[in-house]
Amino acid sequence: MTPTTTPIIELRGLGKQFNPPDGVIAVKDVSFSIMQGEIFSLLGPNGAGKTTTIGMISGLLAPTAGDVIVGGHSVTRESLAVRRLIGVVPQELALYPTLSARQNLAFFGKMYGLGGRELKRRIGEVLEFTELTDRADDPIEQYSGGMKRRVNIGIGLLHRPQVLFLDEPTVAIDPQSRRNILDAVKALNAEGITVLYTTHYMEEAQELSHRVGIIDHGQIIALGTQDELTRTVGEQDTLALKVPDATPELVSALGRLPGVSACVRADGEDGELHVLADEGRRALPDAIRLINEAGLSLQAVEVREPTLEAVFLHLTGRGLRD
Amino acid sequence: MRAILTVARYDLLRSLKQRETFLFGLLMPGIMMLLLGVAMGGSANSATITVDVLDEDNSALSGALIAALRAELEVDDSFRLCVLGADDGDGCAVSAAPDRLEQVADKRLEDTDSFGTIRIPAGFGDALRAGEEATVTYKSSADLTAPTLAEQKIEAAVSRLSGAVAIADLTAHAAESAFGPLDRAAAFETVRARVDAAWDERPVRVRAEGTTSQVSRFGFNQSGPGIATMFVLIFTLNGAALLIYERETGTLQRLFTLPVPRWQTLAGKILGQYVYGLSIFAVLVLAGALMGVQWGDNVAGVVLVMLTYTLAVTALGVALATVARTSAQAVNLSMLFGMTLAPLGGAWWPLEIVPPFMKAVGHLTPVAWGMDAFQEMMFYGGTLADIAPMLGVLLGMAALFFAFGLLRFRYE
Repeated sequence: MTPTTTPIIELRGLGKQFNPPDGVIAVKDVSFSIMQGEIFSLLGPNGAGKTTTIGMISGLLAPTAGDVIVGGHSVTRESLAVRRLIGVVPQELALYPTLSARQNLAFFGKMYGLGGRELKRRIGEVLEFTELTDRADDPIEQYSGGMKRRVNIGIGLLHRPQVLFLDEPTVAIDPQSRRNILDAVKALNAEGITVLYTTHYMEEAQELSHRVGIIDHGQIIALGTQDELTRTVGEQDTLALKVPDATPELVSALGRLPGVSACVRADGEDGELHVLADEGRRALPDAIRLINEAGLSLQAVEVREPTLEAVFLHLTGRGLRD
Repeated sequence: MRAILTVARYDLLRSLKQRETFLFGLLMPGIMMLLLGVAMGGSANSATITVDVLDEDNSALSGALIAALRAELEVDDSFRLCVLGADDGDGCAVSAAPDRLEQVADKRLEDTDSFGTIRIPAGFGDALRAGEEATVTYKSSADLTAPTLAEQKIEAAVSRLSGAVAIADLTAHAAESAFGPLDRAAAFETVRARVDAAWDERPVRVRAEGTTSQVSRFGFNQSGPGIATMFVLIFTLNGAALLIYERETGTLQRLFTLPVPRWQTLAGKILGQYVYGLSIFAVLVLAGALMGVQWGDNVAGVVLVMLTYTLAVTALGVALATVARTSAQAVNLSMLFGMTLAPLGGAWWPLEIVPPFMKAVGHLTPVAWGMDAFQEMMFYGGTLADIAPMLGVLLGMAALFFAFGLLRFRYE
């Protein structure tokens, strides 16, 4: 769906400190707007403040500074009105495992104020959307991880929310289930639902989002469309080098090469180093020389166009999964 | 209000779906109630105390003493007299060679088949007729209440026979002095028999009234309410762990993002635990009744005790949920609380047998007040007015624990 220019969520100087005055500041002075019909991704590493931000927008956590306006209602003063507009899909599988999918949906549906035929119809539609109709009466504890994730999402859709919050919905699931979830998010957005999606997977943010907010240490450090963000990196390339057993000294030396702004280990990809260079091909010979001098082997090389990962690397000097 | 009932209903559904509910909530307490009840004397109906009689004299006077003993001891179902070696229709035909009867009596005492043996020695009748002293011995086991009561009744029977013998002897003597020689033995026996008969028609009688209950305080009447209150305590406290577990798994936070006031969600959780505790209580009370627990005639009182006691321990569970940091810690604490508060409060044994200090400590727990209320109704026919103080304390405890728990509860 093409987003409108009407903001449906506005964060105004939002902040959260746990156990003030000496506790951790999880979110600091965050301000941005999400437009109606938009898929907005909040991208950042673990512990960046994504879940805390969603917690405040959904009314679960009380902000210690600022406010959030959702659909014209203040989350601090009209929490119930805000909660009627939103659907929250938490990162955890917040389900009752001994109950079936149908029973879980019926319970949460009733809590959303649905009842009678309407509830029954919505349960049927959600089960169909999540492709769980055949297993609807089995206890959740017998489901695969991907199926549980789908029920987790389905609960957030029961009352046809205007805005859906998805907090890292693809954590710890197989690639097939992940693909299904990403497709489902696009389908929901096509139906007109605004989506706030948090992730630390750069690829998901790139594939789904109309706009991306990059968050680190509780602060928004970049905000815009993917094109706008990658332009901030300039014309820098990412040099992907597969060097098993790369030493910290090598990573440090690569980061100091001429024309190179940073070098980090790519998490989850065995032995891969990401070097952010003005011209990847020009930096390559020096990089190979350093690897040879360290007595290590270079198993693969790839020069990549600017990505959100590169943007994060450029802004923080760290990888998204560091 | 609808949200409260929805949360409570689904929590109850989830609790009842757990196999542990049937194993630990119903089966285990049922077995414990049965074992402890049997170990402490079984049902009230089988609490009749058997007293053996070893009649080594077999004279008319020993027979008269046995008749007097029966008259005193067998006025209700509390005692039963068993004359060893005699098939006299008393339902306890114990036969053995006369020279082995004493050994049999000792063995029965040792095996608790009887609680005491009354031995009437050979020559008992002759001694009485000759105006000499005759001794009847009573050997008893160490039961808590039976010996004193049995001794009193034996004393009464012996006094009755002694009185009859003394009057018969005096009367026979006086008649001989006044009317000359006569069949003194026949006169003695005639007068003794008349005095004995007159005893049954004595003009003045004492009707015993007071606090002594006719219902056994042991056996199932102790284990029934004791085990029920203990398991309701453990299971309801375990609700604290469930609340923390929901926080750990994120379902509680999810519930707090729904368009329902948070207090309603929490109230639903508490109501669910309360109804769950009450359900277990109701089943255990019924199971107890089937085993022979005499809950008393005050049905409304029993229901009120169940309602207030379960409320107090549910509130204790809410308080516990704000103290424990993890669900595992809460499970351990609920077990620890259950296994310490239950005996302290008199769920395992009557508080009457513990020192005053321990009795006072026990009454810091809801268990003691619940047990007091049950016992008031079971043993003394307590009315609603009689148990009102206990119900008041339980409600006070509920208010205190709820205040503590709800003030400390973290929604975030």
